Amino acid sequence: MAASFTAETAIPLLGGLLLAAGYTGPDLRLAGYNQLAQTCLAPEGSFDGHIPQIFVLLFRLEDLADSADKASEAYDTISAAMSRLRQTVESEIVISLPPRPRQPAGRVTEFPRGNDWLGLWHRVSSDLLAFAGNHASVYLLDLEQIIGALGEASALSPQGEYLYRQPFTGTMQLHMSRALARIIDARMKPARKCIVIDCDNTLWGGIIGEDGIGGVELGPDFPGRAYVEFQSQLKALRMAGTLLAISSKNNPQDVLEMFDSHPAMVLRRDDISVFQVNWEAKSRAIENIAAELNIGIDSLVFVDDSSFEIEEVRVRFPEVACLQVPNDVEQLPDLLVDNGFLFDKLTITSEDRTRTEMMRSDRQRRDQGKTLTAEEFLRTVELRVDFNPYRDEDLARFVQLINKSNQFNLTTRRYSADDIRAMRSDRQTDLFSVTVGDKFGDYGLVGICILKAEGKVARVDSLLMSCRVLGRGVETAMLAQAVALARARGCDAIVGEYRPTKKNAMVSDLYPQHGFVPADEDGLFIRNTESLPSPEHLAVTLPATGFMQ
Amino acid sequence: MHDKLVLLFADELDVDPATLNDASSPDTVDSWDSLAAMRLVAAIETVFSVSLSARDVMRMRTIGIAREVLQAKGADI
Repeated sequence: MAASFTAETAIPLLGGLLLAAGYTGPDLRLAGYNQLAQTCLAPEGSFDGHIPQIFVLLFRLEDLADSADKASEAYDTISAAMSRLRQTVESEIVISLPPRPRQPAGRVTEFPRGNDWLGLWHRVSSDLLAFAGNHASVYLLDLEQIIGALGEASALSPQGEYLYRQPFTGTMQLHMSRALARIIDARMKPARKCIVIDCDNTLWGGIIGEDGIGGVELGPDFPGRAYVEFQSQLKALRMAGTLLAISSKNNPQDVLEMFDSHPAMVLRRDDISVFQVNWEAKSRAIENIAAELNIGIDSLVFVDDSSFEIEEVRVRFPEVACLQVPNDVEQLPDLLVDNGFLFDKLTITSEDRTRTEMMRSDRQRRDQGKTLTAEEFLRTVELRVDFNPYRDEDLARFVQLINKSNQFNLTTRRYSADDIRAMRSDRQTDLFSVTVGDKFGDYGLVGICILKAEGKVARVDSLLMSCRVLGRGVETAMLAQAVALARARGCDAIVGEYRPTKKNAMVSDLYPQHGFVPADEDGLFIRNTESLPSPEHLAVTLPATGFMQ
Repeated sequence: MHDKLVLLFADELDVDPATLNDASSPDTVDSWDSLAAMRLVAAIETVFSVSLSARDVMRMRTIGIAREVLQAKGADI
C-alpha cells in the first residue's frame, strides 16, 4: 500500500479483516508517506525487494500539491507511473477514486475552465475510470462513495488531518479496509459460478400452487416491482456469465408456466441452466445441480426466503453461500447489491494483458511512462533544497523539530530554546537547516543538523529530518553539506553517531551508506572530509552570506 | 489501584500500568510514538465521551496534562 496520507492505522484494520476472512498471515506492507510515483516506478524498492501480489494506491488530490494547477501536473506524473507499473508487474492494482477536494470550494461557473479543484476531481475520476476499464486487473476504490455513505461528519477528521496528516476517522478507515478486504478476497478466491434460486416469495410474491399464475405478485407496481427488479439483477448476472438454476418445491408444470407465459417475468426458461422442481430436500437439489453442471458445490450461491431451507442447505453444505430473502420485499433488490462480491471476477490472463495493452487511448500515456525511471521522476519534480544557518526567526521550528522527530533522527537529542541559543553563540558549533520544495509546493523547514568542531574533527551532534520528505535524496544533500562545512572549518575528519531508539531504525545504515566507516562498537562512524556528492536531481542553494560568520 | 485514565494509557501503549504516572510522556515511554498517539486520542474520545480539538491534543504531552484537559471538559475521570 502506498498513500498520500498517513495510512498506518488502516494496516491493522485490513489485517484483522483478512484474518477474520480466514487468511493466515497476510503480509501487508506500507510504502513511505506520499511516495506513490516512486512506489509505482520502483516497487521492489518500496517493499524490501518484494513485488506484492496486490498494490493499493490511495491518494487525495489536495495532498498532491498546494494548487489545483500543480495538483493536475502531479496527477499526470502519478498517472504515468501507474501506467508503467501496470506494464511491469503482474499484480492486481487497486487505485483510489480520490475524494472530492473539500478545502477551496470551487464555483460552479469555473467548471468549464477545468482549472479548479472540482474540475480536476472530475477529470481525474474519468481518467481513472478509463484506466481501470482499459486494463486487466486494475480496480477502483471509490473513497467519495464511502464518505457519502457515512456522511462527512463521520468520515472526515480535521483534527487527524492537522495533527497526523490522517484525514479520515476510524470509521472511515474501517469501511475503506472492508472494501479493500473484499477486493482482495475476490482476488484470492474463485468467483461463484451458479446461483440456485427458490421461486415462491423469491422470484415472485405469493405461492404459484395456491395463488395461480394470475394471483402471484409480479409486475410494474409494488410489491410486484421489487421482484421484477430482483429478476433484472439476476438476468444481468447471467449476461455477465453467472449460471442460474431453480430449486423449488412445486409442481413442475406450474413453475414452467410462469417462466413461459407470465408477461412480467424477466427471466425466461432459456435463462435457467437447470430446473430442480420437486419435493425433495433442497440440499439434494443443490447436489443435483452441481453434478449436472459439473461444477463444485463451493461455487454455488443459494437464495431462498425460508429460514428452514437456508439452514438445511447450510448444515449439509457449509461451503455454499446462502442468502436469505429479507422479510420486507422492498429490501430484496439490495440483497445482490450487498453480496455482489460473491460474483466479482478478478481473473487475469496474459491474453487480457496483450489485448488491453494494444488499447489506443493509453498509448500516449504509456510512452510517457516508459521513459520515466525513479531517478528521472525525481528530476521532473524539480526539487529545491535550500540550506541556511540558524536564524532567530526559525527558533520555534527548531525547537519543534528537535523535540518531535523520532524516526529520521540519528541521535534523538532533545534541546530547549535556551540550549539552541547557547549553541548559536558557541563559535565551535554550526546549526543549519534545510528547507525543501518542488514544483508542486513547499514543504517548509524540514531538516536540522548540528555540527560541533573539536580540533581537527567535526562531530555531527544531531541530524534529523521530517518524514514528509523521505525518498527524495534530501538526507544525502544534508550530509554533503555537513561534510563541506567540516572541511571549511579545517577539519580532516567528520564523525557521525547513530544512537538507536525504538523508533529510528530507518536511519541505522545512513552513515555506512554514505562512505562512513564504523569507528567503534558504540555507533560512531567516521569519514574524511573529501567532498560528498549531492544527488544530481536536487537544486541546492546555499546562503548568500555563507555559513561561517 | 490505577485510575481509568492510566489504565487506558497502559492498554494503548501496551505497558504495565505500574510504570506510568502523571509525568509519563512520549519521552519516557518507548511505545508512545505518533501512531500510539493517534490511537490514544481515539480511545480517550470514546471512553470519556469527549471531543478533543487539535490544540487539545497538541497540549497533551503527559498523562497529567491529559487529565487536566479532560477535567476542564467535565469528563467523568
